[in-house]
Amino acid sequence: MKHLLEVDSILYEVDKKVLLQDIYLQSETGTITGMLGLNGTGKSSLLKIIFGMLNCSNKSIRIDGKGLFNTSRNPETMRYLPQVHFIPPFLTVKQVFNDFECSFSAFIHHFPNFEQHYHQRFKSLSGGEKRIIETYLILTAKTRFCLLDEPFSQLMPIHVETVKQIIHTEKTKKGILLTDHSYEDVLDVSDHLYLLANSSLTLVNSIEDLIAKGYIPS
Amino acid sequence: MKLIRLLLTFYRLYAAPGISISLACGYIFFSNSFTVLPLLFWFKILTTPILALYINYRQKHFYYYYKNLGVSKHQLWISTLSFDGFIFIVLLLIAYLLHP
Repeated sequence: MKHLLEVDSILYEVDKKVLLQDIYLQSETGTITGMLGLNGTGKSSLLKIIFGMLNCSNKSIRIDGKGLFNTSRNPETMRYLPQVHFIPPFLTVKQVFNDFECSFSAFIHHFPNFEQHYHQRFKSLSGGEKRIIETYLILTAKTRFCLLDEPFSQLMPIHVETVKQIIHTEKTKKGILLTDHSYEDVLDVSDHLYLLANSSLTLVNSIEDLIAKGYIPS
Repeated sequence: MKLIRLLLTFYRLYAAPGISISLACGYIFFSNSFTVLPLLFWFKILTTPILALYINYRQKHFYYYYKNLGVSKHQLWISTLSFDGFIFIVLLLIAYLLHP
């Protein structure tokens, strides 16, 4: 079954400076929507607003036409990968996979080197290892929409390719909205691409558009 | 059951300072008379928001973990502070029963 997430009428100000306005964004099951933008343009803030972690003056967030009026989110509807490490360090990898109801054996199929970490606490893993687990859990746990903030950061190139494969597999079951500074990877996986600049989103069709809009050098 | 386990894991972030204060209050109550009881209550009541604000600031990234599992910030704090208050009362009761 297809689901549609729509976001519009966002007005978000920081210190009386408008960071986000005139935003219209949509994501649907089976598509990957990429979002690019310079530092400080509000990409992460937009994802936090959608996930209900950040309040703003005005917003309209709808799933299948039904508005989400408060900040609570059902995990079966939406999950969010923040930029920061978000798993408490004293939890074991086993506990975390149980909490998200994800299969560790399926994870090992993609990342065989992690088998040894199953009983380890999260704090004993490296930053990159933590990031792989966090990204994998958010991507594969049962939900309708995944919001991914910098899913490729801290990852080795070989793992970036694996994560991209997983994103492609998962998009058949959910809508994926992602942002990352690794624009080539974002371009590679995205079905629709937006550029966030001057507090609003514009649809981008090619790398030439990104050059013309000053996001990447010519 | 899963919700209780998640709430308890969040309590772990608060447990060390929270239980330390309750233990100190229990010991002071054990070593003194009933006259210190109001003072201990006020001490616990005043230190609780300070601790909660500190934990809220230092451990704020972990809210994403719980929200991704359907547990809100309110649920986390209501359960944590209730559990901490319960431990405080239990420790005072133990101190009272052991009082010579």
